[in-house]
Amino acid sequence: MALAWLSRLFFVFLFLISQASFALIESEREELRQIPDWMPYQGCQETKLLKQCFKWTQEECEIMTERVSQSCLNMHDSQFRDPRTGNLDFWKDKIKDCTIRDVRAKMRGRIVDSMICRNKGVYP
Amino acid sequence: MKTRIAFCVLAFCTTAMASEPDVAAEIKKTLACHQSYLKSASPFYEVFEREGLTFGRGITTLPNTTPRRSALMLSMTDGDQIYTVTVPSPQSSSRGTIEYDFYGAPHVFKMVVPAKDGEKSFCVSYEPDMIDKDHIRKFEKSPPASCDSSQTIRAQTQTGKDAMMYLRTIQSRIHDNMRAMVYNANAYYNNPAKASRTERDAADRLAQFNGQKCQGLSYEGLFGASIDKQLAEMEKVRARAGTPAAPATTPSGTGGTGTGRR
Repeated sequence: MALAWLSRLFFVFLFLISQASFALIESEREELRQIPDWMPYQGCQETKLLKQCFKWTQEECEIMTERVSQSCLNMHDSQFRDPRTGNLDFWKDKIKDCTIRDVRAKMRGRIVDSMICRNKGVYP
Repeated sequence: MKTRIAFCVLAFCTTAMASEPDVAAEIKKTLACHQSYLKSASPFYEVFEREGLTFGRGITTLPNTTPRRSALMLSMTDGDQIYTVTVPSPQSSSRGTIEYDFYGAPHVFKMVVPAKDGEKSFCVSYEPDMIDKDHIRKFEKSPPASCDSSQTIRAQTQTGKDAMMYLRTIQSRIHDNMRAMVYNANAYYNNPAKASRTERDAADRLAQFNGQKCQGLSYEGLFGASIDKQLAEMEKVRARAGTPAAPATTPSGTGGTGTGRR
């Protein structure tokens, strides 16, 4: 009987640990909210994917990336408040993927056909 | 007639000599600017210093490839010389009609750089990040044996106009990081109450930066972008903020780049 209780407690303990490892702390959520501040400038440099894979100027790239990454962030905001949904890296990748996907949808017809763009899933 | 020909040859030689850029001076100025900017740069700054080399990553398109195949290129300074190294993607594969390359994978190679006293060897693992900051997993001066299984790539010495062109890879990294700082600092002063941490941080960094050593660099980006213009923009932001201008950072005759987008 005692053994059964102990094993139950053990599983509850394991469950709590797994939850804690996924929960984002406030500073991590803040880091996610910073994405629209840096991503347009970093991603739209000549050597980066957003600039490389679409036919547009750096300024056009920055304006759209800022808008799209902000809307991706808003879309997922309630999800990354939920402690069961993933760690910081998971959410960073999610917001980056969402941004690229939405930019690609908006920029259809101005996509560059290169190996990098195919490889990264930008070119259809 | 002979005098005329001699005069023409002399004039041609003088013009050619005059148009030859002073690469060593430009490298020195670029490195001085980089050093003075380091403390004020954001965490995404992509001019790296490793083992005495200062470098920036570029991207180059290989000729006659369909779809276009790209390769990583590093532009490096060592003393008053500039070198480039072009590294093909580590592997490629085909799936049906679609061919993939692995540009984003770590590029592991042994790099040999010419030097006045022989050659220098480095073991490098460089991973381009297509959105975030690139990752340097390894960059060490090591006995060649530790890197024997990797491909050996010799750095090319660049001179004259080519050297200036490749130096621009480094200058453009400085420029782009400054541009982000100006933009975010501007956003902070537009609405301090609603500013994000990045914007507040950019305003702090801008207040501490003295751009004197970055003046007069020859970098020219698209649409007239230049480091001088960014310095002028910094002065405008400082003026708006009412913070004392850093001494002598504004070169005369520079225009704006329109940072007031927000």
